[in-house]
Amino acid sequence: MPSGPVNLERSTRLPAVFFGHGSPQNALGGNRYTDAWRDFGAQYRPRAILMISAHWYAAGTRVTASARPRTNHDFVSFKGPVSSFEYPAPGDVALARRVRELLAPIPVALDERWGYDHGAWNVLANAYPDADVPVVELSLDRTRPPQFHYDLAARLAPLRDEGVLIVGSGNVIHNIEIMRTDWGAEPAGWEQRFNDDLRARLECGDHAGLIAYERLGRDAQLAIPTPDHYLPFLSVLGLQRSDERPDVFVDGDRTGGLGMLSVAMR
Amino acid sequence: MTAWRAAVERGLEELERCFDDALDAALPNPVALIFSDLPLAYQGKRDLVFAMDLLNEGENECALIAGLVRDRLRDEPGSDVAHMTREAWYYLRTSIDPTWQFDAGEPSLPAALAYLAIVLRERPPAGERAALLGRLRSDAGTLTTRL
Repeated sequence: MPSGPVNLERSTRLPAVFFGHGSPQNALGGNRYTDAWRDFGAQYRPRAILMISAHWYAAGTRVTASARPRTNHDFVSFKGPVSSFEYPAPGDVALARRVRELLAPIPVALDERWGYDHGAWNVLANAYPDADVPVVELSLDRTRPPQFHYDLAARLAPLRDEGVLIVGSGNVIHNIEIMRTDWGAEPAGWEQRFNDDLRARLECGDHAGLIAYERLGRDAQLAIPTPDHYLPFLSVLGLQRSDERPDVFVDGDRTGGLGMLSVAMR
Repeated sequence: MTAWRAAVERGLEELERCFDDALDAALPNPVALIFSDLPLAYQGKRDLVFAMDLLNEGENECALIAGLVRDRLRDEPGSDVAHMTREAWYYLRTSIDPTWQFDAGEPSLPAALAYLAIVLRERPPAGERAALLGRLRSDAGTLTTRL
């Protein structure tokens, strides 16, 4: 693990990282997950960030292409400071065009309307609190299967050598119904089993098994009732290179039904 | 075209007719506006029906995804849409009963579409909806999984 900020003139490859983002309230920090995100951010100074967030789950592949993306408050159930939270990082239109170039011939729409959703800003507010690193968001295409997202991300790998930190933001376990029912409970047996199984597959490089999560049985069905929060994890898997190990730098669950595992490929 | 895909196409056509009827009944009808002339198409009508509270969130999400399945298969007939079918079913089930996790049956998009059409036309009581969806899934038989 790098011990301090990476000097891009010396080492040009940045990690690919997945953050288990949890609630929008995490933007305000103050827990062991947000502390870990902050410590991660302190180690790297990218020229830009490409964010793949669970909360931009669109019918097609889109990329933000405005100079000043707005902060989206894309939730209704959280009041207080996060409902007016602002993350004023600039956009990077040139990076958006570079993403489109790398993904061709897959059609990629340049989107001037979408801003930073809470999957993006609640982790970046901790990892890069000064909001001075340009950010571009890439949507998930809800009409495409898991393998598509893994393969698509792999095509973005050159960006890691161009000073771009590629970030996936979601949750490997995300069952809102159970979270609401059993708020604050210890993780259930199925959740612990699924998390252990996922980590074992991650450690031994079983990407095929993780992509085909729908065939992993009932525990997986409970952990991933819809693909949106899991797909950014597959994107980061797709970016792992053969000389890299998955570094799980924080893991756990505060609420039941919400796995907070974060992992960096480095 | 597979039997499954034909059933989805038919289900969406019927559901769009239900959208038309529901909107005709609910929208104001000024002389200068002929509603059926508006170029709304399936997803635009669904948006309006949802905005007017004639579908709940889970029902609306299911109807949205079903329309995306049709678009995907029209663009690329061999596409994998199994994940979308499961997702549509998840949203529909949770719109009725949050304990959907304990339903071990296979998702059925044709049954989901038939269910939505009945909900719009007949507004069955909340307590009868889980049984209705279960019956429709049984009726769909071999169309439950994609052929």
